[in-house]
Amino acid sequence: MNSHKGPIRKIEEALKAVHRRGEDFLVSASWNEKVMRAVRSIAVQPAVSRFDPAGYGRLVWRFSAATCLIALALAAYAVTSDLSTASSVTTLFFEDPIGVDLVHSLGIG
Amino acid sequence: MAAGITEAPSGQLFRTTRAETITICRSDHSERRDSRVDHQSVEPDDARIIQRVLSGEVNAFELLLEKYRGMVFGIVLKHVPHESAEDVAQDVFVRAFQSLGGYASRSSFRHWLATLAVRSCYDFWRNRTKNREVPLSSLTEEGQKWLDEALAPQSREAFLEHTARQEGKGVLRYALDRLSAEDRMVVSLIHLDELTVREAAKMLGWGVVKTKVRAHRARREMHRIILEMMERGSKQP
Repeated sequence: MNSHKGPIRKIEEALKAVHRRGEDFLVSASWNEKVMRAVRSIAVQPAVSRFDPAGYGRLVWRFSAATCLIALALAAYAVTSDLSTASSVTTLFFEDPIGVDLVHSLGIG
Repeated sequence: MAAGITEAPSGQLFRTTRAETITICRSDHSERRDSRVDHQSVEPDDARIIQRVLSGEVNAFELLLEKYRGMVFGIVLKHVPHESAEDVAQDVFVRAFQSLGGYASRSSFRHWLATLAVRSCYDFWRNRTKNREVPLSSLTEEGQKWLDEALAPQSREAFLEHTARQEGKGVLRYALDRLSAEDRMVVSLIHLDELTVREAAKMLGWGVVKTKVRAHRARREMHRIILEMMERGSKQP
């Protein structure tokens, strides 16, 4: 492609110039009416039927950053505090403080 | 701002202008830079009309429709085929009406509506590439000839005259039709309309990094398509 760089650029420039050229467009006389009809039909719909899944999606994403931050903060707290889930589970498995032989009941002993 | 509107007996004639999208973006940026401009750009009429619409006076929305339809058509006509322009422009205003409650008057209504227009165009191409019910345009013999002539050495005037020919539109359509919806919008906004990456990102609602990466890939893809067209021309007897 490198050997064609010059010609490609030239075509690209020509296409850019084509894009910049204005073109006439005739909007139909009834277009305004059509849009207003659509708008009025939305306006008279009850609010319940105006379910907007995209809007809910946006709402979820809006809170995603805060959720991640909270998760990170909790993880940091768990790492720096004395709470050790792994050691608790190990104690539960091998010291059997509640009197149930978990290791055998799970069939791994 | 209503892109060269001329009254016509059966409707209204719009002329698409390249400057439309750019002006919308740039004006928004200058608003933030200069408080004097910001003050001037505040349109109390819009705020009043929006308030009326929100309080249940639906017919007042027609005032906004009348005021901004030129701008919306100016943007839409740059990005979608003319036969779909009315539907997409209608979608822009319907979306605007539906989201009017969520419109924060921090940015100008004009810019907010322009962003909706660009996103509606993007959705149009996403739906079209997903469904693929419309066949891709083909490169005609005239289009191929136009390409060959564009490569020939010529004066600036001859070059501009050449680009004014209708065949050029066909070649541009052929090339853009081969891009994905994302690439197409990025090529149109950044490479053809010459918006900055930041401006385009804001219009599309993407991150700046994503837009930058996409713009780079899209341009490479566009170059591949152009090369393919050139090679096809050189193979023809």
